[in-house]
Amino acid sequence: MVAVWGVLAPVAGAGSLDRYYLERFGELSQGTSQVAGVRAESANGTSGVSERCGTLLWRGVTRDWSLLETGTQQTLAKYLAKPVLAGEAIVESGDGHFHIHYATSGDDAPPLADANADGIPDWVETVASVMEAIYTREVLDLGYQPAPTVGGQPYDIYLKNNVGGQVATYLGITQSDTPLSSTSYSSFITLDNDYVEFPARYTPLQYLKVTAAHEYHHGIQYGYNFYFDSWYAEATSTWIEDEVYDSVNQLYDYLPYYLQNPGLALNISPSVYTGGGYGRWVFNRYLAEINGRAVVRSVWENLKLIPRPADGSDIPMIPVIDTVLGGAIDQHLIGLGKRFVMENWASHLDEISLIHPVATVAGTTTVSSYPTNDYSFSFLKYESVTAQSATLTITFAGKPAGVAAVAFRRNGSGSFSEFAYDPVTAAIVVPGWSITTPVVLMLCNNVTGTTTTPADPTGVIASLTDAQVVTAKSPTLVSGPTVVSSTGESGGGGCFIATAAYGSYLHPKVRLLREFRDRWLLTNRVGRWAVACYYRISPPLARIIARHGWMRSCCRVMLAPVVLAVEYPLGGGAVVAAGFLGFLPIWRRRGYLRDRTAFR
Amino acid sequence: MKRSTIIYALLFSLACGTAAAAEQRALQSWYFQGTAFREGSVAGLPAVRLADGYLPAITLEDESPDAARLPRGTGGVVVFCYVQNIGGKLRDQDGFLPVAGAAVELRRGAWRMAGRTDSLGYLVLAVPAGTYEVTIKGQRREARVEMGRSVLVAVRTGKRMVD
Repeated sequence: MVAVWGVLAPVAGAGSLDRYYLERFGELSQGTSQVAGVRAESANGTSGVSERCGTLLWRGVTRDWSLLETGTQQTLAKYLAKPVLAGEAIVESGDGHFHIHYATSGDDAPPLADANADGIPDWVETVASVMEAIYTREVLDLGYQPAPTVGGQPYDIYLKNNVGGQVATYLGITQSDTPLSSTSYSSFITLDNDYVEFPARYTPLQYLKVTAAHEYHHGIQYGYNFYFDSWYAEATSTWIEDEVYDSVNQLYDYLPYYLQNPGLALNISPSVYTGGGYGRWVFNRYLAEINGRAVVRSVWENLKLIPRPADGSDIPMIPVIDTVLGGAIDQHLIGLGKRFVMENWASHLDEISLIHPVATVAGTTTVSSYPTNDYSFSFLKYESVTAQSATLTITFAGKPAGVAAVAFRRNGSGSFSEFAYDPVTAAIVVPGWSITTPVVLMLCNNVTGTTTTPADPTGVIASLTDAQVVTAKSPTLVSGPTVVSSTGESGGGGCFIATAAYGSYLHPKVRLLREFRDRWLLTNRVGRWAVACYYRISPPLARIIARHGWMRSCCRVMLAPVVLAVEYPLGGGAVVAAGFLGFLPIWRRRGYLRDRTAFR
Repeated sequence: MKRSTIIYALLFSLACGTAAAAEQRALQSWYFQGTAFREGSVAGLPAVRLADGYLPAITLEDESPDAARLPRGTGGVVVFCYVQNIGGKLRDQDGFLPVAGAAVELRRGAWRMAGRTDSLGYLVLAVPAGTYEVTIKGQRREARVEMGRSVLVAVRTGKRMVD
């Protein structure tokens, strides 16, 4: 039987649509055969085809989301690309660069403690502040273009509980969203809602900081060129973690996978198990030490100039890096290898001990095996058994022209002496070899075989301190959990009733009222108390108002003098006062004032 | 008379068997491997079943699809839309996610046609022979359709950097 002919997804009424999606996602125990999801073979060609837990239909269910019943939405929310959060609220970060989306109930809700009683959970405020600090460092300080968004809207950050079973499955995800040009895409980030399920080696705040710094740079990368090579994307995002939050140092955890497998190419696919991508951040560290931090940005700026490949594949990054380095990537790779051996880093000096030693194998005096992958290494160690100083002669059989060979003798003082390969004798001769002065041979497949290295910096390169929030503005609630439009878009807003009355929290009048709240009310104790009271009583009223057109009209009329007074403090105030005075005779006629007077 | 009947019967059986075998041989299975289609099938992955002269079919299990002939003068187009999954610091998550409900546009000169991918990320169409531009979410591919044959087009519409 033909299972799926697939021209159009089945069209059905709301009830059967719910059933359709629940069945397709395997959420109904009908014994329906359903492929839960797919994973491709791993990049290294091993047969890694296996199922991934339910992700099919996600775009279709997004399309039909508003037609589904609430229970179905809650059941299927976990399958959506853009997270759908229970009772979603949105907070705008202080400088307005980010919208933090969070659940106000259920598993995805972040810690909801609100010590300052401003209506925004403290953890969400922390996320907002961290994102602004990251923006300051990556965009304003380091000069990267901001991660683009549709229409310049704030960048979307979703907080979601990512636990799959008992073990968290990811720290954060950045997904491309809408094409803004032939190569530039908008994107959005999903972060864990609290980072409490992760190993206690780092605090939740530390996890948040480095993950957010890492992921936001992916957002930047989508803006430069969607067709980036993923290994360099991960290498850059991991490298920048330490340029934004130098004190956390989680990125060193990914180095052993690279330095224990130096024979794997620099540009292998990202994998935590091989050090692919993530562990290659150290290459950027070296590039930055030699050429300044801006060299990494230059690579991305050069990538931006490359058009979309005709076949839609990714753009290989090695040639782009080579162009930025003036055709000297071969020299830089040799330089990196020397750093691995000599550990003579010129930046982040207090963290050198965190760099895993490069793996070596016992060397033989005749070398006949070489690193075969382009841009890879092998390191051979020669240890003497006597204190007697001797001459070590290493001969090479069949050394490929693209492989460079350099020997290093560790001197008693801890310094190193270098010994070059002699092409005439096909050997390296190392004098003064003893038990206290071991020798390491580096074989570097840098394609050209050059042993020239770029000049090292003359001094230590200062590290950047942890990124700080510079804005004095507080995050603001722009969308509450209570008012949801029929299209599924959140339509609440910090000003619930005004949002309901005007139909959207983006309405200019609502924005005006929010600004009034932020500038005049939230800046003092009485104002904050008034806002807190308003938030408590207004959501149910707003719900009712949003359902009735005549109530929305009435509200707009009632809010008009308030908006006027906020918009034009002097003129508006005068009009309100005049209106009040105009009503006085009526009040008098009806006896309000007389009664009040009589009451006295 | 009897002998000739037997011979005719044998020849008829042979012809039927050959035809059936030919039908079996003509049916090919393909699956999407992460970056491209590969011939063969993998348990748990949807298979694209192709046969010359027949409309392609997407099957979830090892089953023979109902035969539906391509309309005269047309060829089959199978479009698969997916988001690439890359990386994973805690767990390797390389792979892909099918995109259901993606709007697909086929264009050939002034001729245009649009449809949506199904729940498995596939769209199957029969179109007149010719070269088409397939567009999904700003991604373009070229598909050359031959009469009576089918072409497979995989379109990556997004990337998901995990960690």
